[in-house]
Amino acid sequence: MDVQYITPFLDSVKSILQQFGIQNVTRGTIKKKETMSVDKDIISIVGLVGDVKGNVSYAFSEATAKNIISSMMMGMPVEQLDGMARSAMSEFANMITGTAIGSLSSLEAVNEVMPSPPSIIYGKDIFMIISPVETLAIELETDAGKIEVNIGLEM
Amino acid sequence: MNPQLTSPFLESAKNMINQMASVQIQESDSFQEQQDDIASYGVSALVTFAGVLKGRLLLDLEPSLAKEIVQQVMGETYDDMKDSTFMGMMGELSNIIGGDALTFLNNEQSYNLRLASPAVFIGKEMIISIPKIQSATIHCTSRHGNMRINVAFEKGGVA
Repeated sequence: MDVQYITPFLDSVKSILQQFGIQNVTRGTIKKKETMSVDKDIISIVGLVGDVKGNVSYAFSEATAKNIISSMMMGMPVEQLDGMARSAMSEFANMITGTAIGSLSSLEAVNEVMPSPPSIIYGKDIFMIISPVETLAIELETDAGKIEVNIGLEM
Repeated sequence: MNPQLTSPFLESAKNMINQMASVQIQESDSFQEQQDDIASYGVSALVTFAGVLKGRLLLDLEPSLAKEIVQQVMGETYDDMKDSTFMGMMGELSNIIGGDALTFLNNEQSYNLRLASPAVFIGKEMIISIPKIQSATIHCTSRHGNMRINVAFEKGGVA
């Protein structure tokens, strides 16, 4: 997997969070995922179809999710992850992926990429695979909490 | 939701699981509108697609049925569902079923739908939701356990 396909996603997480007033976003470790375990409670996953094919998932703890949703909704307190909150989570994934696709389209090898609708998965002890090839896991430290971005592209 | 959009997924699931693993799947009702989130049986394989329409196929299986299918296809028993071969096989299953159904839909109507990569989730008390998008679920039974097939289309499948 080429780094030019990875950075648009990390940059767009940062820029979207900053639009919501979450200023500090630092990149933590980047590793090829060997175990498929996710130690977060909530996963938002979006598929990509076209010249870039695969899945990108964003995993958060419940507290981080509530922080992000609250800042998306002008600081409104979020007590529980109800329908409205889940809708906000999927919108968050949509916004990040949409912005990333914008930057991906500037690459010469990429003419067309389409996102597919996000799904939200929550539960305990989740194991997942999102790509038959390889998955990169990137930890982001933000003011709202840790976000784990998993990128699994078939290329 | 339009049955012409949902029924190919049921047919492909039944045919492919039967062909690959000789496991007979029988639907126990018809596709019903999914109002709430889905509480997973334990093994969930989802594959999304996009083209003229956008949507998602979700196969949700009881562990006993998933293990039987993988065992029949691979010829080996997997006790640990977290095994990468096991999970890879479940992903491939959803890829094959989704691909077969999309080929049918694309031939019938020029939807030009293409699959993204499959994703497989295994966990405890998993809840799966697809916010703001209409979806329909059909429950299926087999000798080895239950499964459900959930098909979602953005805007209810209206292009």
